[in-house]
Amino acid sequence: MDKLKVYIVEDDPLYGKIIQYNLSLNPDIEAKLFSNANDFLNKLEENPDLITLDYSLPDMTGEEVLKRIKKYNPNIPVVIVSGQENLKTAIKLLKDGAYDYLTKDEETKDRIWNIIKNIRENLDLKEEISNLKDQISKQFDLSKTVIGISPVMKKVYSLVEKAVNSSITVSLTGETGVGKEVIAKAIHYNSKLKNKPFVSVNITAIPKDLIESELFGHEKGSFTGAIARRVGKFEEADGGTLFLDEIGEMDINMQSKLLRVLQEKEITRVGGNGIIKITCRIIAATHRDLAEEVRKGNFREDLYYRLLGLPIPIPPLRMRGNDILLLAKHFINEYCKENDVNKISITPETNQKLLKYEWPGNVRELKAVIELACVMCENNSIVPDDIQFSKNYSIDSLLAKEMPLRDYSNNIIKHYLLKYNDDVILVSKKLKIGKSTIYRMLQKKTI
Amino acid sequence: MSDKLYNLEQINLMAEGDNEFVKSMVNMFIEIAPDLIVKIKNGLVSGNYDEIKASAHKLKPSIDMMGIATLKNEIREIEKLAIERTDQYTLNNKIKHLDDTLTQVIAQLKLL
Repeated sequence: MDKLKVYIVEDDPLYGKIIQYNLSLNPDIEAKLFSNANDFLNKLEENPDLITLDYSLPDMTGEEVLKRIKKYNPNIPVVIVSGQENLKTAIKLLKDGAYDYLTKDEETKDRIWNIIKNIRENLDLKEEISNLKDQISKQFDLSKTVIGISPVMKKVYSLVEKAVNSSITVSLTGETGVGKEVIAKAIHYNSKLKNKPFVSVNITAIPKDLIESELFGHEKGSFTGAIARRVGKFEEADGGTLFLDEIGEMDINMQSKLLRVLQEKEITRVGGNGIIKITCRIIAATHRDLAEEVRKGNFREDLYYRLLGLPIPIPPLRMRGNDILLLAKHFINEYCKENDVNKISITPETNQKLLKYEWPGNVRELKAVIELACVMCENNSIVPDDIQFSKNYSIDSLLAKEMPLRDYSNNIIKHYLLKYNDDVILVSKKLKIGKSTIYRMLQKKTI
Repeated sequence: MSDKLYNLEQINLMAEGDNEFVKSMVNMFIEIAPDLIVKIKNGLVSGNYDEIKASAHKLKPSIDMMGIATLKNEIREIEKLAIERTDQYTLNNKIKHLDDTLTQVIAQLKLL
């Protein structure tokens, strides 16, 4: 990390020199001494990490200097060092934004060191957060995230580029499993909002009676079970991106509320009175043909046009030609990396099998098939028999690998959701389990 | 030789064993203290209490740093009396004591 820049503004030469000397003993600190306010203010644009400021300077009061520092950059911590204890002055300066108020005595040096330690820890944390954000950003680098060179995908890339360079609402359409969330994240993390939150909501994963609270938040006591105030997804996404997945599944009453929020750009929490402005960008996604749903009366036309923005249709995998093989290779590499196994190859005959299949579950299905093939293959080479498509999914395949009962159950539920396009209600009826069980598993990401 | 009127313990602590630095701090004190005493005495003569207050305020941390125990409270009282602008007699005496003591301190420091 860079040296911590500490600027000491002190007109007592003895005191100033001693503090500067003492701080400079630490090789990670660059301490500069200024004997008057004007000399210091001329160097303020050097953006010190910490300022120690004598309250009474020859050319300006410490209060005035503090005001100017805060006007320039309110985030620079300023420690006022004064020759006398004055509680009233101390309180006022702290209210004006001073980080701390110290009196000049034998303990001042140690107090300054403590402050430096705290500031250093904060800066380290900020740097770590910034690095993590960079990593996330790199993880969603467009060229690495979305794999495909087919003509249909090139059209998608050109639209994504336009989405990245603007703040327009985006509507992503495509069959289940084509990668709508991946595209949404790629748009967010390649845009100027990349350092802001990306909040994802899957409408189908939330019980209908809880959707309003989930999106807009609720106040304590607003309904049974509301034991504390809760911030909704719109607020969580403040300044960033809110991804509304499976927007086509939203019921008509909730659609009206959502429309109002998008029009007014403000929300009120359930059970609350206050109006909260919202500033997030919306990316909506659905596997349905929303125009058709409007015609059928299942989706509001006004909301449809409000969400339309920049429409990006994402083609099904079967239309992407050799992208299937590129993706298969990518998933194999991912599997090997995650499981720390040797490289796994894929035979030409297997590739042909992959190319001939319809892929109703699209990229998600391809990933699941490839992962299973990686597990099932022998001699680190995937052959056609290792490729098990969901239509042919048999009990023998299910029991081929031993695993805990819970994992068997999870795999069965996953298989049914894939088969029936994530229709939770239908799958719960087929398997004769509660739909809340499936919702819970989706929320906890166990399936 | 009279007992030392100063104590360099605090400066030594802050200098972390750098004797050259301690020497430079002592020399700085020898240089700036007399100027401030002159300003205080002039302020007394001319009735410029603001000057007395400002100079006493500046001298205060240096007196603490040099460990001049006999002047620790004295300098604070001088500053207070200059603010209050009353009791010129006491102020006068205290400034005289300040001057005498600092003269001795500086003489002792020059022998280092």
